[in-house]
Amino acid sequence: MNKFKNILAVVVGVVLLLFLGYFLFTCGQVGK
Amino acid sequence: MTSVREDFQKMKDGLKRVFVPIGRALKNYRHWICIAITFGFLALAIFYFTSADVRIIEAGRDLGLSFAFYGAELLELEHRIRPSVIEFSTTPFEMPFHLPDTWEEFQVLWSDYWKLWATKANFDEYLYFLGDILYYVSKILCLCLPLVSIFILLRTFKNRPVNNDYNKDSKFLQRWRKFEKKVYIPCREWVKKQLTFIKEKGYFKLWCWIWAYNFNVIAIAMEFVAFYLYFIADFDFVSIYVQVVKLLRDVSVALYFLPIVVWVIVGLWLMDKLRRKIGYERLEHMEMKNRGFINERPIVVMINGTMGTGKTTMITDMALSQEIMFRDEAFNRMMQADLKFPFFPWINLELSIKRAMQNHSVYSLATMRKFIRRRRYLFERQKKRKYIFDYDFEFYSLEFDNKLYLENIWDVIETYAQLYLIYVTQSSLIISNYSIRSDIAKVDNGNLPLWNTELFHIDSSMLETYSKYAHILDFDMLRLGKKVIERNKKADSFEFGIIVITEIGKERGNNLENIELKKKDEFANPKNDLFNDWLKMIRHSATVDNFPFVKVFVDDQRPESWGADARDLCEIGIIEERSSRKLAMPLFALGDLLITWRLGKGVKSYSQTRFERGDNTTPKHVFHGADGKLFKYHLGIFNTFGFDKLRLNIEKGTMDGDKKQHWYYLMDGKIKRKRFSTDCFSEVFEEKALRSDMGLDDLDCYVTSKAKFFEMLETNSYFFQKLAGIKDGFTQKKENADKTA
Repeated sequence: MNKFKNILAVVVGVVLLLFLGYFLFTCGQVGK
Repeated sequence: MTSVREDFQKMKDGLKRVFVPIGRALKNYRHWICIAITFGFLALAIFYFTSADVRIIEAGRDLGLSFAFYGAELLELEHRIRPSVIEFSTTPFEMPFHLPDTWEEFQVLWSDYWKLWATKANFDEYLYFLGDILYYVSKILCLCLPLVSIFILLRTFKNRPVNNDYNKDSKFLQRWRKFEKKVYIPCREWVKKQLTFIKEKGYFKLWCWIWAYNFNVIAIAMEFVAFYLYFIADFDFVSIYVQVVKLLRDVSVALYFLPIVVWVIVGLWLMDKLRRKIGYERLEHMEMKNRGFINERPIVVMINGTMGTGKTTMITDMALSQEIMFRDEAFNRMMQADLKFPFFPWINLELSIKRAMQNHSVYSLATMRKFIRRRRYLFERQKKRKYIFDYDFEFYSLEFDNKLYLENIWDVIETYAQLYLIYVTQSSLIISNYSIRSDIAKVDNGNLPLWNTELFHIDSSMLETYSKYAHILDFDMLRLGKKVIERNKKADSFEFGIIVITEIGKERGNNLENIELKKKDEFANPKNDLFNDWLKMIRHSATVDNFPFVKVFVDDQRPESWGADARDLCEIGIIEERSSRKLAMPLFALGDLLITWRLGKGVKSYSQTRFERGDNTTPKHVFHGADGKLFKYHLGIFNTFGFDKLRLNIEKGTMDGDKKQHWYYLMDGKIKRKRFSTDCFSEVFEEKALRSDMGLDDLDCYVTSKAKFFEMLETNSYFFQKLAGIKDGFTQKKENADKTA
């Protein structure tokens, strides 16, 4: 159960990072 | 008048006093290393971070002008001061993150940003960008792949000889151990010593200042104060943007100077600090919730649950919290008593109590009351300052009006003295029928002592230093009637504290179990010892300042195991469920996954190697050593931040009311710190086992999957004995029938 929760937390973390990355990436694009 | 020669000699001595210690210190080569590093840092400050000095000058100017502006605005003076803090720096720089120069331009770009954010083209571009990153990652993986493949192939096809060369090192391992002993460990020790040297001799602080200058940290701090002064005087919200840009500009110096690896390490370090801080805060919060739960309970609490649910763990945990709460309560009430007569020299009273405690004339609440009453009698007979602890009673009041009635100072002193006794009692406040370790430490400078009641930030190597063990519970103390030992010296000694009794039902029994016992029996038994009467009047001896400093925590598997007369007095908590172990520290999911995965692999490979070989090989030595470190880290995290959640149903001792659901938290950092032994009565069973000359291997086993009759008889079971009787009866009948025939 803990393993499942950990995997879920990691997946959610990666998705959030990618989402945040998109915001930062757009920052760079708008300044070009 | 001194001669020139004498002056010269004095100057020479002065120089000697300065330079000789420096020269002596410089004989230590570690200083030379630090000095070389310092010069390196200074060279960077002068030749590389060329705008740092300009930024500090600018920040100084901004601070001065802002201060003048703030002063002028505050005093409503007419002025023409234009604070320079709202202007950009004159030093050349590139706008970080392509930010525009002005707020107006930023507003335009802001709407552009969201338009672009929502376009598919931008999202596609982002995916391409991610693809590029994946390309570089796969490149690195491709470089590593051959090495990993070779390693796997070697492991797969390598001849795995089975040997019994017990604890012999392979040749390569012998060389490896030599390398470890002669190179690796000395180097590690040298680095450790050098780091300690850097900290001790003040180089670390010096370097921090140099880098704070290089990375504009000093300028940022000054600019912050400058803008704060300007902002509170003018409330110029538009200029916040300029400040953000200036801040980013100053921060970008460090951002671009340090390589990304350093930032990753710094980021991870900060994340670790933050998550540990959150973890500790969560543990403290849980402890506060537990204390709230305990406070809601009556004086006697019984905890029930099946084996292994944590009944004894829970009453131990509650006792530990209660001890801290009693000390806190005593302290708070002492402070309240103090405030009633704020000019009373309480320290004189405390010193006099200390002396009385040292010569054992005061050792309980009753003796304390007697001690104070004696002083009161002396004072009332002859009103002198020395009889009232040097209190200036002629100038200050001897009574306190609490708006209900007038309190005499001697009543308040008596209360204070009793609270002080509870507060300063050196030993544990817990009295139990099994050992409980508590480790709150008294810090005393000879004045008012304070208790360090920290439960989680404890250095495990100092565990035994502050350990206090619970007092042995003599049940005769709790018996008002017959006692097991007549004229037991300890029989009248209990006044206040926390009584903890595990397996109360086995000690006291219920009505059914005690049915054979009689009140008139010669020896003490649960019917004639008046334990229940004591329990009913327990708060009378322990009440100070209208607060009962007593609590009784008991446990058993079933509430009915304890007789209803006593059980009805308490509240019963039945542990319905114990959660799996959880972690209070966030952001450990990836670490937990990786470490458990690696340790699983490590154990598998290690057990296979142990099965095949008796000797030691280098891979086993290196990987198993690394796994040991990982295990230590992982276990340390779980032991510090792990916790279990107990779901309890609370009901009245009469067991006829509604049940209320509550949660109780068992934190590993608190309760698993050698607080008690979960097999606290195992000593009895050890004696029993030692009497036997047979072990599990010596016991007979069944011959087939169906028990033979003689095997059944070996069980000495009542049931099988009955069956044997039936069988014998049949045989007898059959024999009789045969004979008749």
